[in-house]
Amino acid sequence: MSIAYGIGFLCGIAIVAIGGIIVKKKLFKEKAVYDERQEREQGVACKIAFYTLLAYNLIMGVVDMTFDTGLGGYVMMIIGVGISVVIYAVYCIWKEAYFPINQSYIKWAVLLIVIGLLCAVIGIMNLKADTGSETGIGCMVCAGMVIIIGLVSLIRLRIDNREGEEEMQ
Amino acid sequence: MKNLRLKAARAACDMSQQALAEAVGVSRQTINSIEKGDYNPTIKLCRAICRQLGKTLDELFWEEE
Repeated sequence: MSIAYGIGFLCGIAIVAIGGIIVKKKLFKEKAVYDERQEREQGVACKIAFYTLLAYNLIMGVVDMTFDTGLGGYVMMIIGVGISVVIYAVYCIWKEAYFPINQSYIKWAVLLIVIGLLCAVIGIMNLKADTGSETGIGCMVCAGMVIIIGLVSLIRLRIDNREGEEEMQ
Repeated sequence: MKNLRLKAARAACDMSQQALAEAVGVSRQTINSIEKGDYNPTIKLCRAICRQLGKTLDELFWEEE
């Protein structure tokens, strides 16, 4: 990796970080508030995600020793982190503990899906240029992860609205 | 165990789960979980709910013999 690539990488991170701060200040002005049940469920989700990551590392360690997966260490690490993050997020979303009580689901879900699609585009471009590209695979893993979280959020919102309507009747 | 007394008290005040949740500062799902018996609230939340519905802790949360 050259110095120019490294500087470009850091600039990219800085731009995303600044963009993220601006989006947060414009779209999500209020401080996130979670109630006691949500905090408890987040704790349970953390534990499940942690043990998932441990199990993944154990299984992939054995699989990698036994078979030639063709996956580099970076990709295997990203996949493991991606799986545990998805497990955490999906559990929290299903228990309605992922989004703060004072913020709208819809904005977050749409933003996540948009980010996922952008990652997917970047991933596809990288994979087209080099099918074994670790950056491309990493982007696709992130895209998949974020899109799944966004879609599960929308499904949960639909179920929640229906439960709310049934309760009102 | 389901908390039917809470549900009845809420209905008597003509409040939806969402309205009660907003009044006490929790999510609708938390109120739903308490009514279904899936979640035991802290004493702080119990008191907030009792204050909102005009009931005592015994009336809403004490286990029936």
